[in-house]
Amino acid sequence: MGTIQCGKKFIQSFSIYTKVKEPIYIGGVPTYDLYLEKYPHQGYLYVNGVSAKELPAGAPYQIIEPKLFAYFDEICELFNDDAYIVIDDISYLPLSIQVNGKYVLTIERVGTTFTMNTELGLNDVRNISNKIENIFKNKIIPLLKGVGLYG
Amino acid sequence: MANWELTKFKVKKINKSTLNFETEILIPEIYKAITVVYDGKQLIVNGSELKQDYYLIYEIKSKSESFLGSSLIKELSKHSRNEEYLRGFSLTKISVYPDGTLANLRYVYNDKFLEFGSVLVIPPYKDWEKLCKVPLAVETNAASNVKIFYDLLSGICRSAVMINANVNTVNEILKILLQKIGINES
Repeated sequence: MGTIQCGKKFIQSFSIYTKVKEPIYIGGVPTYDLYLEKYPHQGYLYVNGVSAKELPAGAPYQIIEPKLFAYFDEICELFNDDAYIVIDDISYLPLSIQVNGKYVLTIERVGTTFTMNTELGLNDVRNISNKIENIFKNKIIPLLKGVGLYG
Repeated sequence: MANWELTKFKVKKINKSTLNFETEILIPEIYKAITVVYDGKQLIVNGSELKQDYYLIYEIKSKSESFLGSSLIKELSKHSRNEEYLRGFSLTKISVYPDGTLANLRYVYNDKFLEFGSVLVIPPYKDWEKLCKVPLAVETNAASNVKIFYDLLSGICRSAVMINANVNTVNEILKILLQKIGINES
């Protein structure tokens, strides 16, 4: 599961999981499972806890940082207040959304049964999820792919 | 205040042939519950066969069939690997308030179900678009992943006109039955 934390329509922090075919060398260890993160109050991308620009061949990662964070800002623009979104790793669709610390959407899976509770109408749920999914599929993923941080 | 309350509404079809319909109406003032059952052949009220009324039986049967042709049940059928043995439509979690009756709508195909609510059932929403503007809880076992779950949510909104028609049909059936058994509509 990935997380996105927004404050005043801007990205504060995020954590997403990706898997790569060509390994990234972290501390000299070839690594295929990546956790890409931005921490609150820090304007850098981290890969498995290491600042991306400090990794071997890290220059391209540093170059994409502003664009990457701007794409996450686009997600945050959906929310007027502080928001915390948990997303599915595969589909990038929201599993839960908290606004100002209060859940407005939760999707849970127990066994074979999915249950959704929400304070939003289904139209709003679909609009928000479509926008997040499209930003990931059309912007964030291609950007990460371009520098070898995805796929 | 209503002088009757809906407590059960259930339609199912077994093995593509036998249609069953069951409803229960409570009259709080006299603590009396009236059950109406159609078992595929006859209409039974509180255990006794209602005097043959072919027009009434036809109305109940044809209106009940309309629930089972729902696009949501067709959607559920795509997620079932078995030959059809059951289709169903029912109201669950029925809550009666002074201004109306809320319930969850439950659509079933074999072992797969999709349930959502609360939906205003009595009286129905005047505007079919209202369904996807109000908060709804949704539960289903027909989705194998999150993407399919979201597709089913979209299916609910795409079917909003049909769902509204189903809710209207619930009201029409109740109106017919209430008239037949001599209960005033409130």
